Amino acid sequence: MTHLLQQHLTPEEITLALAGALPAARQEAFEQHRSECKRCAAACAAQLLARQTLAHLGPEPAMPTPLDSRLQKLLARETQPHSTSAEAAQPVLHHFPASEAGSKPTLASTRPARWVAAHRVVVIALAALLALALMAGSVYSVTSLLNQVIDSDPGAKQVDLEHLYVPVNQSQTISGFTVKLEKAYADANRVIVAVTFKEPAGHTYNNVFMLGTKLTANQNVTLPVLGGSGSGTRQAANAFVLWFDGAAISGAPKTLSLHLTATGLNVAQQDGDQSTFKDYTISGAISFDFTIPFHAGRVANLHQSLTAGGTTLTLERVVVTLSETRIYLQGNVIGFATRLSVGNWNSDTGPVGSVVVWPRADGMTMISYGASLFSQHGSWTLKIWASGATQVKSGTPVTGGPWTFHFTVP
Amino acid sequence: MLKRQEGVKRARGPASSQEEPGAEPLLLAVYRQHGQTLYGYIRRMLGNTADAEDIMQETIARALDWTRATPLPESEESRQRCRRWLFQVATHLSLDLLRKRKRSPLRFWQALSQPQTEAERERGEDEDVPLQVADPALSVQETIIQQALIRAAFGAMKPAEVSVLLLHEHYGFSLAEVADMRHCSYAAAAKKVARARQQFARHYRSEAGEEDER
Repeated sequence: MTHLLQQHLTPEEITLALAGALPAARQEAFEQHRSECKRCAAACAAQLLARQTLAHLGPEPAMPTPLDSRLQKLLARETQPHSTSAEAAQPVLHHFPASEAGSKPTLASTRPARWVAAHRVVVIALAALLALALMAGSVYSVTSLLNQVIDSDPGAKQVDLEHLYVPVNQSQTISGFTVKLEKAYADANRVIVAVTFKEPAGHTYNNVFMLGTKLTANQNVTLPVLGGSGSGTRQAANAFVLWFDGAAISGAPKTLSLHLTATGLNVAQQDGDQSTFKDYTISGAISFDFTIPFHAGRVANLHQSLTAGGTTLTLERVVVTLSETRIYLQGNVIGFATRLSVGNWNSDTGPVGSVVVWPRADGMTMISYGASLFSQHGSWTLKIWASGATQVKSGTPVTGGPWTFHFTVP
Repeated sequence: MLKRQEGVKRARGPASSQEEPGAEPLLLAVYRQHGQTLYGYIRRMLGNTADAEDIMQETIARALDWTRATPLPESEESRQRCRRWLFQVATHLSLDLLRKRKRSPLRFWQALSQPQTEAERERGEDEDVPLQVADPALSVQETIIQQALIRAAFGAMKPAEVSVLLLHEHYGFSLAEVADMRHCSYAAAAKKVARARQQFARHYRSEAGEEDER
């Protein structure tokens, strides 16, 4: 173990150390060496960059609903007990060489023709925090597109399963583009709005999206955008779900009066090859006013402090809503590794949605789990590892741990 | 080709869990729990929906064969093994497709490194979040930029490196699981992850206009 102190760390050693996979003594030597050696500290920082930045990869690209339905039906049929004969044990799907262009799987595909042109176009609109799955063809209705987007996020999907989206059905048309606020939902973690766009005939559009989107709630509180996802066709429509930070809402009002505005539309148009691509802005105020119920969720104000390895960590609050589960810790830290478990669920095996560790402007660190755990009761366990974590302001590594919190959420 | 676990009985019928009345078949249960995530991984690897659909279907087709040939008891361990197997096969198929087609593997992500557009700049100006509002440290604009940098860095990396990085850092597979999935030793898996992280940092910083700290 002493060689760690005398020689520079190898990339593999750093990887193992950051994974907490070294014996305790070696781990200690690693931390000591890292604090003393600039070169190795830089090497660690490079590896940590990957871990920390991949937390911002965005939502998972959504599986097209038709494909998901086909696969679910197939698996339900082919894994049933009646298929126990030797004959039934033969492969049901013939393998097709994925590398051969034009080959057709025997599983009937209803997916639209491939669309490969002008990916750049997509991205420009995607920059509004959207993971956009583009599909050609017009077999997808606006409703199915919206369902697909909602289903891609566990929390948003659970809200849908509980029938808690409130239909808003307000629309505005600007230069032939119709923006429709379809439905919305609000709880103490997320305010979710579902928006669709219908495009005018005569051209083909890769994407359309609102610019300068802003959501304000009761008492003129602006709710920061946290993320979103979208899907669309080139000929017909786009559907988007945006979620805003519900933590900005103080107290537990019964309803929220919301004001959604945008300053115009960003349009990506392409009628032929890439030379026909146009990306332009249509100015025009978009404004929707609507009122929806507010779901306060389950809140545990814990103020629970634990000291491990000489470092104290304080778990302040846990907010469990249908759309998300959030944990608030004292201090501004990035890079914590965490494992949350309750009942039969844990964040290692999921379904978990996205997990984000976010240092907040109010001095706390928020750990967000995209899974809907609202129906989970009983004892919760949160384990936090410091390996790789750093203080935001000072940039110094967090030492000590791991910390294991046990709590209940009323 | 895929390795089958040694010491596991092979049978022609379905997995034992599928024979228990009332129990949801293992593969179906795992698909329902992890299917969307698996598709997301494939989609991220291949960069387009059409190829992702092909590979997703092929992965499930092979999984049906595998579960018929490899009986697994109903347990959390079996579920994890099945999940790992699905990601393993999806990885092989995706890398194989990218290699054989000899094309830019992540062109969709590469496209994200395009210069900022007027629309992006306009969105960036809308950064008027009152201080009293609980606000994540990263602004909307910073998040937009960071996501673009991530995708640009992936676009510049080898597909195998992106795969290892995604599996370990984003989808939470341990080093031991990565070693199992890539048919290599634990030490080799650590080396692959280290290499992937270094490459990611290099390209990420390059895209961000920063000096590489190596």
